[in-house]
Amino acid sequence: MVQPDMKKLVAYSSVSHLGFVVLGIAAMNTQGVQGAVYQMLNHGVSTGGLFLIVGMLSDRRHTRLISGVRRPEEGRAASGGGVPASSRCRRSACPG
Amino acid sequence: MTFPILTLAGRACRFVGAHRAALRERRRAATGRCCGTSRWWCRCWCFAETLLLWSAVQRRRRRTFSSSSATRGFRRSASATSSALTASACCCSCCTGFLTPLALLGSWESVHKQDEGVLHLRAAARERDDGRVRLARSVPVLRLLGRDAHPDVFPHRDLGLRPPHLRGGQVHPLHDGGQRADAAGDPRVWRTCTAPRPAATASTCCKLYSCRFRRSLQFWFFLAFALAFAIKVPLFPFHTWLPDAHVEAPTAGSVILAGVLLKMGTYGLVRFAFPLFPLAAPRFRAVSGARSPSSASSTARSWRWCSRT
Repeated sequence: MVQPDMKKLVAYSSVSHLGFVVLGIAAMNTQGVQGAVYQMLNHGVSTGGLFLIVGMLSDRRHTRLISGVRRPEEGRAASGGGVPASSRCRRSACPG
Repeated sequence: MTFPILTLAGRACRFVGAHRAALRERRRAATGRCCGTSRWWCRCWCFAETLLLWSAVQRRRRRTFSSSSATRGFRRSASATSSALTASACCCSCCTGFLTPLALLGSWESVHKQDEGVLHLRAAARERDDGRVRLARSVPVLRLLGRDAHPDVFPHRDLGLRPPHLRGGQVHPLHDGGQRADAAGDPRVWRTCTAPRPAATASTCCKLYSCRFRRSLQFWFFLAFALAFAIKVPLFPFHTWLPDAHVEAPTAGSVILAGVLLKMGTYGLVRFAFPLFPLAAPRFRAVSGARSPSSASSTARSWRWCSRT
């Protein structure tokens, strides 16, 4: 993938979402505006959740790169066998 | 040069934060738990805020749809666009109410680590002031929704940035004239502007919508408004600030930015750019399909009408 940063990836996806929202508003008919409102709701929930997931991952892995998210043993081998992932999870950004 | 209130707020913030941190350390030493009660308080507060938002939206909807004698003569598109306006505002409120607890709980540890004074400062400010007014002003969507209760939609007066008597009595050109324009040079107005005002007869939005512009003027004004909101949305050529902002922001900031603040641009388009300039808006339609431009113009006009009620 061209974009290595997870957070930037989600941000660019939200740009494209809102482009469709503005397209629906600029259609200036009932269906367009209704779809735009519905898409706004969808975007708020889904992108908020995606950003929470990215925050959780970057808190656990201490990087936002997609290449930094591998399987646990592989990541540990890559980082030189540092802190195990389970102890890092305790102070993670994940709710609950 | 920064306004001294910012420095004062920063000092108070640090003081309150240190005080609360000492309290928490004592409590942790006593109970061996990490601030379980304050987390529960935060949950309860978030739930209460969501309830408040929801009830405000419901009240607004009831007020909009109860004026059925006025809506009787209008077409279906009028009611549809009215419900779209209400629905977009409702969507923003729902996103705020849904995402704020998520973001707060999701970034709980990072808030503790970095700047814990901010939350406590906000809580203290909310306790100090009149609860209803302060809460309504702290949520921008509510400010726009309850515009009859809070007639100025331009919050720069309440931000403490530049009081009007420092601006030499100059009033914002979009601000309503009349009594407040006369009193804008008076420093007492600036001091009392956070106090609850008497109910206004006509809101600023109504006065804005009653403006009539020439066709050519509408074209350029619509372009300017659309450019401003396109940067806010963001649309394609103006989108470059968004990834940088998301990269710099913490997780909770990203969630709120994506879920609520980006909607403000599209809400502004629906609220201001299209209904204020109904003659220019159909020129920028995305589809030129089955419906004629005149009906599109009437849609824009009905938007305008619905925003007035």
